[in-house]
Amino acid sequence: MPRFYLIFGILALSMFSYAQYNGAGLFDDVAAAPATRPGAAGHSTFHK
Amino acid sequence: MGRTARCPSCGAAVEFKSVVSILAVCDYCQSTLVREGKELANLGKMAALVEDRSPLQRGAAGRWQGRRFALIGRIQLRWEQGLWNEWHLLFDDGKSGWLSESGGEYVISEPVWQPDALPPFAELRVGQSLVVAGHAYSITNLLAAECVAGEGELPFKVSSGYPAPVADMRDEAGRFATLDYSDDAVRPLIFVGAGVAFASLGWSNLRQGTAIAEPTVKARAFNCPSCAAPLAVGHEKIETVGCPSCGAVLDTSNETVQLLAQADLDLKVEPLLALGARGSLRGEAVEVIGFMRRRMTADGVDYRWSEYVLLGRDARLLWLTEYDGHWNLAWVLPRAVRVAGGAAVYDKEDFKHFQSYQAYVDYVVGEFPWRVRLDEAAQVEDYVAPPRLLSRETTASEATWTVAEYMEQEELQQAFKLKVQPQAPTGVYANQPNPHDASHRRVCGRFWKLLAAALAVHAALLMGARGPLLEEALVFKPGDDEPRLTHEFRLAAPVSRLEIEHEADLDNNWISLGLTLANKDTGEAWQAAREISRYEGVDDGESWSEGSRSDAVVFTALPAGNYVLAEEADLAANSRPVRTQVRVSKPGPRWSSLFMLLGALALFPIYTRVRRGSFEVKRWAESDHPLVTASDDSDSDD
Repeated sequence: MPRFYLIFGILALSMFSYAQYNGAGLFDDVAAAPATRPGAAGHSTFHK
Repeated sequence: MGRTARCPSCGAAVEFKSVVSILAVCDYCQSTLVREGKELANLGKMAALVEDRSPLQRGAAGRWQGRRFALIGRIQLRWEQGLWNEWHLLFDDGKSGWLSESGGEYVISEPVWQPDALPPFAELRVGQSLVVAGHAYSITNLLAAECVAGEGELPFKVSSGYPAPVADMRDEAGRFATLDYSDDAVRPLIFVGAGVAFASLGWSNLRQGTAIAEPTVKARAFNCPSCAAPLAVGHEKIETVGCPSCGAVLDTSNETVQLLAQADLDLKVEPLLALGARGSLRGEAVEVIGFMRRRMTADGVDYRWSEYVLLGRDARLLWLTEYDGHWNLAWVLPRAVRVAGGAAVYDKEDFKHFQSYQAYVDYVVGEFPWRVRLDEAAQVEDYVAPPRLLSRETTASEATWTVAEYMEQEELQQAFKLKVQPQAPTGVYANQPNPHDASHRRVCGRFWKLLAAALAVHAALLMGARGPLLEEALVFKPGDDEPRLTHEFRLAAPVSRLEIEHEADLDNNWISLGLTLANKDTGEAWQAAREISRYEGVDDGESWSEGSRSDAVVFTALPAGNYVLAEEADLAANSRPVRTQVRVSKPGPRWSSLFMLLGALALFPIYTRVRRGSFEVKRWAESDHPLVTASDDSDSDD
């Protein structure tokens, strides 16, 4: 049990550290819309 | 300086090494000689000493607390449980003292004078506390002893049959005191000292160098007076023998063997360790000399266990106890133990009270260096701190503390080279080590280390977090469809996540935001829709709230470049203008992730704790203090 716990703990800690480094949270609201090319109106909006 | 005189009976030289010695026994004719001025008076023949295989002899020398001493005399005493020796010591500073030798236990004491009156012998009780020479003692033995014989020099007159009412006392530090009422039933002689380890006394001239009279089978062979079975005693100090044929309990302290009691043969049990079996327990050579079955009754049910009497090094007595396949090695403690608040403190460790009961002897077989009494009740109190168990056994004349250590069967088998497999342990014994304890401790240790590492990672990332890339206020009005553009901000390198947070000054209203994050360099855009609402009020005197003024959304996998954020808002037609504070940043470490990790890591210690606890529940179920009672069980069933 202690050895298994150590392996589990190190794996969990590694995943935690990676996620924290990237600022990822399990409850984050992630924008689902994929990247798009704006149409002419939008293009003009951002390239004033 | 010693003084030598001539025995008036045989003319042999009689030496008085100590000035306090007033009596000497002639080594040649056993005349009891008393100093009367410069003359020696002959009080008659001293009875012969009972051979007891003591490793000591007159002339043996040792060292105690930095002082050398020599044994110059001995009184052999008998009480109802057996024999013991009081060796008269002469220290190198001229003072005298006593070395008590009983059942392999040794105590050195010296006379002290106390002005305060002490209770007369008749008023003393076992367990009573008395202050002697500035220390609080507890009475452990009340002995109505009598002198068997003496040898050498002695500081007072003794003779065979001389009564010696004695109270032995001990304190928690191992100090020892004796009140000797031999001369005066009201004003005792007081001796104070301490228990000593035989090997620590730096002995010389011990008896091993001389021929010890080995008891012969013929000398101690006899027939059981009850069934005529042939019996033999292998040790001269034996007081009681249990006949394996008929269950008779025999007094063998005298040449005439007497029947003390008759055990019920239905209770006979074949001992796993044969009488006479020799082994090596924890580095000490031991021999099984006796076996007894004892009994206690709880809730109308009889519980029986076995006790093996072992003779160890220097005639030390040890006990092996067995109950339901659980074995313990036990020995008598030469000290009192403090009991307070349901716990006994020994060796700086708290022993919790486990159970109290009356113990009886059902059946004995073999040899016992004390007088065994069938059906004599002893009040026993058990205290546990696995793997050790402390027991206080109290009778009308004696209070004894023993400490026992749980022994695995493998150790027993190795010690006695057993060819027969002992009975497998059943249930959980009082002081059985919890097999889940070590695992739980290791898991807990790892939990705290992993927790510390997680906190360190979280703290380091919190401290290393950079400020926002953009922070700006935008104001939206109802009916105004024109998108608001933020200032431009730059991502110097691709980012996996970018967080956009809003803090809106909503007051019982809502705002719907359409976000477009655009890379001005590539023309790529990412969109998200957000709905922020906040309502609050008071109904029937109770305040309530719903929603939040804050909102956050994360955009993922953004390339490097210059960005701008466009926001379109939809508001209720009657809404006042809403001001939102926009904050764009690379997200830092999440508290929620930290708590989730802690929760996952805590599952293991919780599990091992429950597993360890269930073992403890089984242990204490047999005690006077069960952790789960029958009513708890029925409650949970409901």
